Amino acid sequence: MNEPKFSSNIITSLKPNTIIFRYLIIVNLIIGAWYLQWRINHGINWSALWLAIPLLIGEIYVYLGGLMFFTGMWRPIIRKVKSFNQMSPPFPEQVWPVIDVFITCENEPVEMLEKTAQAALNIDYPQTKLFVYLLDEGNSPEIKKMAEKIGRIDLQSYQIKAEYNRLNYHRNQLEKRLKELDIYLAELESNQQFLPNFSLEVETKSEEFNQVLTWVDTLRQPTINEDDWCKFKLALGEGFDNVIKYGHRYLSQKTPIKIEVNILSDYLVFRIWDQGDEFDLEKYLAKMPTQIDEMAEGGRGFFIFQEIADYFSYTHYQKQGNCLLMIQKYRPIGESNYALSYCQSLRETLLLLNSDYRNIQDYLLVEKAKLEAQIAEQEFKLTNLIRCRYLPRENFSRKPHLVQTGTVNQVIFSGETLGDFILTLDADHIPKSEILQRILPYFYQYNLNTGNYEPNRVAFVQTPQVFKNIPQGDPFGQQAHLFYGPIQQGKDGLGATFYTGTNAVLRREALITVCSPYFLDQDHKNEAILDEFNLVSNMSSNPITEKLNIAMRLHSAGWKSAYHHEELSLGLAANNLSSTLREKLHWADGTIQVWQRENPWVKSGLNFGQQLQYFQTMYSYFSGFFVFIFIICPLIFFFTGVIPVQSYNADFAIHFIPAFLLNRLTFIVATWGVPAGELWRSEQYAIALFPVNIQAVWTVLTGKTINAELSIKQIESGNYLSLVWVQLSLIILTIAGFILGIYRWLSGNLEQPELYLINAGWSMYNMSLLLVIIRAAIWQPKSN
Amino acid sequence: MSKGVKIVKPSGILDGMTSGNLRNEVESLLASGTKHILLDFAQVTFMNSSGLGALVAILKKVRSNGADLYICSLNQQVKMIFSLTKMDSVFMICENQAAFNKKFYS
Repeated sequence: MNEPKFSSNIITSLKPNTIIFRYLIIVNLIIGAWYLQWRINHGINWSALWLAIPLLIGEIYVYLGGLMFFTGMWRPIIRKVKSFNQMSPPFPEQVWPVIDVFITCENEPVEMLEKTAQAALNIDYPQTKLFVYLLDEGNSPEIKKMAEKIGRIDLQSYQIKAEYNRLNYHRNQLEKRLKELDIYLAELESNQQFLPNFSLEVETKSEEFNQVLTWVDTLRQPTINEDDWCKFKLALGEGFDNVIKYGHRYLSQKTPIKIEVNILSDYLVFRIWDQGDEFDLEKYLAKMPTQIDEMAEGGRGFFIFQEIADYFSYTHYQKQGNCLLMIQKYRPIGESNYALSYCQSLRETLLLLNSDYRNIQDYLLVEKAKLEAQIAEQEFKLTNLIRCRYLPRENFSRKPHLVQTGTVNQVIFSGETLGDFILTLDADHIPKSEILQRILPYFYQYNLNTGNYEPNRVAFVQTPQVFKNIPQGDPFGQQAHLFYGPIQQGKDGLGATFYTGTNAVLRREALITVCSPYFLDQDHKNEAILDEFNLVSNMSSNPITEKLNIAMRLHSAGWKSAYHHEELSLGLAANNLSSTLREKLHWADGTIQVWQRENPWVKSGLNFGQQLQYFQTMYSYFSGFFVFIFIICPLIFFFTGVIPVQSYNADFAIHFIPAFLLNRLTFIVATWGVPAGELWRSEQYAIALFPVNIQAVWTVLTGKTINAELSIKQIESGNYLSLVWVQLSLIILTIAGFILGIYRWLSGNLEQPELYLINAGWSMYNMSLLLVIIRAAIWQPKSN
Repeated sequence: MSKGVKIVKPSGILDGMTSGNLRNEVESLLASGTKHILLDFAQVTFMNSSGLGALVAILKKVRSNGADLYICSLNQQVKMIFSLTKMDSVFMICENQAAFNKKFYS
C-alpha cells in the first residue's frame, strides 16, 4: 500500500482482529443495501411523498456515509517505535535536527500559556536545538512580557549561561575597539605628526628587485616573525613585478620606481610609486575570477596580494603618479595583549597615513565595517540563545499578501524561524518531555550504504489530543478516543492521516515545497499566481481550513504521514458550551470550505484511499439536513398522523431490524477499546449538533462568511440555553406530542396505538440524543 | 645517476625574466631524452607569481614529454608562495636532495 517505508526502528502492523471486522463490514453493507432496495421498492408511502422522499434520501445518505466510514477503517494500523535517542544504530546527537515549537495563542490566560511554554522548553532535547515560539494572534502585551520573562529565566540555565557569557565577552571586546576607533577618527584631522619611513628608488628593471630585497631585509625588526616577513616580501615582490610587467611596460628603463616601507608595532606597510597610466584596480578586481585554474600560467599575482594584505589601495595622484598601498597586520613576537596594542598601532598607522587623507578614511571605514560586522555576528549569536520567542501577529503579517493566511504558513514564510521540524501545539496543550523523542524517528530512514540516517518522505506525524480536565460524564463530548484511535488509525492505514493543528510535528521542507506555489510571488510580478494566491488565502482565513489544506496538499504532493497513537501532551478543555460550539462550527465551516475550493476527487496526486478519507469528512457535515428529517418525522406523525413509510408492519421490521443491529455491531467492533459512554457521547453530539452543521453548510454554499466567533461571543455572556433553542424547541414539541397522544388515548380517540408507540420510541431515541446539548447548556462546574 | 635523474640548479630571483633560462635548460634535457628532472632550489632566493607561472609552464612541458618534475630545497619564502596558491599539491616537492634520493630510489 501507500505506507511510508520506515527503518526497523518502527514496526507497523495491522490492528488485531481486523479480519473479523472486515467480514462484518461486508455483511453489514450487503444487508444495508438489501434493506435500502426494499425501502425503495416496497416501503415508500406514495400518499405522502413530501415526507417519504426526504426520509429515503436521508437513509441513502446515511448508508453511503456508513459505507465510507467503514471502508475508511478498512486498514487500521498500529505503529511501534523506538525513541529517537535509542534507535539502533544510534543517531548521533551532533546531527540532530533543529526543532521549532509553535504555540499558537489568542487571548488565552497568560498563566496557562506560561505552563505550556515552560513545558515546551523542558522537552527532552538538546537545548541549543530547540526553540519555542509563541505565535500570538492577539498581540497581547502580557503574553509578550511573559515570553521575555521565560526566555530570560531559561538563559540562566547552566548550559546556555556559559555560552552566553562567552559570546557576550567577545562582543564587549569588539565594542570597545569600535569606540576607540571612533575616537581616533575624531582626533584624526587635528593630528599632524608623521612617523619616519624608509624609502628606496630603483629603475624599471626586474633585476633591481634583488637590491630591493637586500634593502628591505635590513629593515626587519626582531618582533616580526619569519612567516609574516616572507608574506610581506612576497606582496612587495608582486607589487614590484606588476610595475615592471604592466605599469611601466611602455616606459623607459630609466623610469624610477619608488618604494616606501614603514614598520609599526603590529603593522607592516609599503607603498610603491609608479609613473604608469591611471588604472582602476577595484574594477579589475571585481572582474577577476575567484578561483584560478591550478594549471594556469598566470593570474596569481593579485590573488597572492589579496591573500596577504589586510588592506590595499591603488590611487592616482596628479604629481607623484600612482601609489600602491599595502597594509599587513602581524602578530609581534612576545606581544601577549593583542587587544591593548590594537589601539596603539592603529594610532601609529593613522599618523603614518596622515599625508594621504583619502586612504586613511578608506582604511578606517573598512576597519569599522569589519568591527561592526563582527559585533552584529556576535549579537545574532546572542539573540539566538534566547529559546523562548514571541511573534505577534503584526510581525508575521507585515507582508501584505500574507495577511490572510493561516498562522503556521505565515511564520514559516516570514523567515523568522529556521527549524528543520515544527512541533505545533495549541496554547492549552502541555507537551510531555518525551514528545520529540517519540515522534522524530518517523522522519528518518537508515541508509545502509552510507551508514547514516537520512530524511525520508514523511511530512508530518500526528499524535492524539487528550484533555485532563474533562468534567465527570464529559458533558461537552470533548474526549476524542474515537477520532484519535480507530478513525486516525484507519486514515493512517490509507495514507491519509489528518493533521489537526496540535500535538503534531511537521517537516519544514515539506511545508515549503508544498505551500510555496501559493506564496512564491514575493515581487508581485506574476498577477495570475497572485490572484490565485489571494483566492486561496482568503479561503484559508479559517484556521481549520489551513490544517486540512496543509495535510491534503502534502498528501497530494506525494508526502507521507503517520499517526502515532501515544498520548504525548495533556490539554485543557474549555468546558463551556460556546467554546464547544465554536470549535465544532469552525470544523464544519472549514471542512466544507476546503471541499468547495479543493475537491479531493479532482485533486491530482491523491490516491483513492486518500480521496475517500477527505471526501468522507466533508460529506459527514451535510448530515445536519438529514438529522433534521429523522427528528421531525415522528413529530409530524404526532400532529398530523402522516408517516413516511408505507407501514411499520412485520415486513418493515424484518428488513429494518437486521440492518440496524448489524450496523450497530460493526460500529462496536470497529471502535473496540473506546469506552461505550464516550462512543454514545460522540454519537449524541454528531446528532445534536445538526443546527451547527446546517448553518455551516448553508453559509458556505450561499457564499456568506460565517461569523460564528462574533455571534457566539455576544451570546456567551448570557444564557447558554439561547444557543440551543432549536434543539430545545424540538424537545418541547416532542413532549407536547406525547401529551397530545396520552390525552387522545385517555379520551379514547387514539386510532393506531402501535404506530403511536413506534413513533414514541423513535422520538424518545432522538430526545436522548438531543438532551446532551441541553445538559451541556445548563451544566455548571462543581464548586469545591 | 642510475635512473637517469638530471638535476637543474636555478639561482637568485626566479621571476618572469629569469625563468626563461630555466625553461631552456629543462627543454634541452627533455630533448636529450631525460625522464626525471629535479629542480634544486637551494640557490633560489626569491620567487614571485610570474616565476611560479613559468614553473607551471615547465611542468606542463615535462608532463607532455612523459617525464617527471621534482622540486627540492625550497626556502621559506618560496614555500610560502607555493602554499598560498595551493600549488604545493600540484608539484612534487621534497625537503632536499637527500630526501628526494630516499624517496626516488627506495
